[in-house]
Amino acid sequence: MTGQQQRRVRVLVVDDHSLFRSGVRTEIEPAMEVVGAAADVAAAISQVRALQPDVVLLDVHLPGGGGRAVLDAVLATHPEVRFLALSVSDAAEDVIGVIRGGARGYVVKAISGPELCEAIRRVHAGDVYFSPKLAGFVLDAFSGNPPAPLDPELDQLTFREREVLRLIASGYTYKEAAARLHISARTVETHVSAVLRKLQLSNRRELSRWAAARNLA
Amino acid sequence: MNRQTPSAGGTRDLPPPLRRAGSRLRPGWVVLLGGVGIGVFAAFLWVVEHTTPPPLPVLVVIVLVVVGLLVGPWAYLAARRLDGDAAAGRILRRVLAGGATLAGTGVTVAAAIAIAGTGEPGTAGAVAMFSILVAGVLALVGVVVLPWLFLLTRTVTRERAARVRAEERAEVATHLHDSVLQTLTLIQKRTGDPGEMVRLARHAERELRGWLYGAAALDPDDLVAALQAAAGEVEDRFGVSVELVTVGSCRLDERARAVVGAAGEALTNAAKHAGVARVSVFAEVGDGQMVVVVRDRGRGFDEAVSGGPGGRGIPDSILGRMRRQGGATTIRTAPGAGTEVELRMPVGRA
Repeated sequence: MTGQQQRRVRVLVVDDHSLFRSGVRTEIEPAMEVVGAAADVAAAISQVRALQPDVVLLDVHLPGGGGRAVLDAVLATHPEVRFLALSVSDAAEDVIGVIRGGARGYVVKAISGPELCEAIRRVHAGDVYFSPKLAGFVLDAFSGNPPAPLDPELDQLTFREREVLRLIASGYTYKEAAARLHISARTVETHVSAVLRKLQLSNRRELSRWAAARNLA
Repeated sequence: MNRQTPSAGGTRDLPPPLRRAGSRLRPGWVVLLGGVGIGVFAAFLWVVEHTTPPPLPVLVVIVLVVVGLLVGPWAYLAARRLDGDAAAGRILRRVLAGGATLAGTGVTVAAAIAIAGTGEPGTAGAVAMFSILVAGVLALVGVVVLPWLFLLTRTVTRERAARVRAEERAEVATHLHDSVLQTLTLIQKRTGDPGEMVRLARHAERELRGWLYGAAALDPDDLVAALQAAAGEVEDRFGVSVELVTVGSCRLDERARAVVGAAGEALTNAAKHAGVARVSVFAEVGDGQMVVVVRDRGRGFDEAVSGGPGGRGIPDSILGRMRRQGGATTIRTAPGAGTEVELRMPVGRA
């Protein structure tokens, strides 16, 4: 705790709503250092390169190409910058899109200040932050057994990973999930990281088809 | 509403430097010139009919000038309407090149005939005149008629698109008026009651969200839709927020109805007794069963104490309801440790 207070996490807020940007600032400001803000894709890319923030809070829907465009441009040159996606959208396709694009977590904008700080800290530490909503999306995306997965290692979730995701989707914190499953919080973190990796690397055609179908509804 | 005129549409997409309006001929003058061209062409036809043809070079020049006067102004007008449109410009240039090649070839052939001195005396002149006239017709069709048709269809398409946009806009406006605007008005009147304001805002948010992200596509006969409705009702009645996450769905049969009813009761209990502002609901349908977990981080209770905070609610509305349909209920709670109600039910064969 003391280590974190010595050097606050430097955060860049990328969102096209100025009200939301200032709202985030007031909610996380004491604990985090908001180094800048951007309202569109081009500004976000140049701000990240100029300010070198630790964590970028990235709106999924942005004028000029969406959050995905920022991820693609920045991660190509600055792979060390961590992204936490956030949106008001319930469209699974968009959310899964930014996660596959390299974001390390997803939270909804209704999240409380302390929870947002926790998510930022976790992402900054190199971990992954799965909110209940994201856990639900991922379970949905990997549900059903494809007749012949291209790569079973990547295209399916293990039993334990599913269990962890279900608990997170039910509103458990990592710590609570660990206690419930009689494993360490670190192990929960490992499972979640593995799920993220699968989501980003999986070749499953169903994944994109699923997302497209969801969005049609 | 924001309907653009077709003529404005033609130049709308141009980068500013290309739009040199000042250096252009006024359309009125061009039309006049075109009229003169038609007149000259008529006079030319009469002259060809009634006089002997002049020497070949003079004839070529006269025919070129006449056809040029006839086609030029109209082509200019059409080109002006079309410029900025890359595809149309390409076609225009090709037609012009084709016409020029045809006329050039005709004149060359005519010259060759004249120099060789073969054939009938009028052959060279006829060939030159014929080729230039055909080139003129080609240019007239390619540069004036086709672009005119092109512009016409584009105008129709644009008008249709504008109409569709206007209709969509009207629909959006109606919806926003009925939902968000009404709520905002209500909220301004109830500034003294924060709880009521939150309730109104949440209701409007839920409705707008459902409308934006396609909840309308969910038919009411669906487990997820029913859970959303139950969660919404609890949010409205008790001013808590319900975080609902669902994976998969199924038809709302007897069993699913029992699950929704039990979940609603568990939610109500959490909202009334847990003393927290947020309750989580997770629902998953798959592997032959549906699982719904209702969870709060609130007060919790001692299961051993009979007639707990749920009153008769838990035995009747949750346990009994689930058991009657062949489902199982697990309750995990302890004083101070929150409450979790897990409902499991086999999925009916629909």
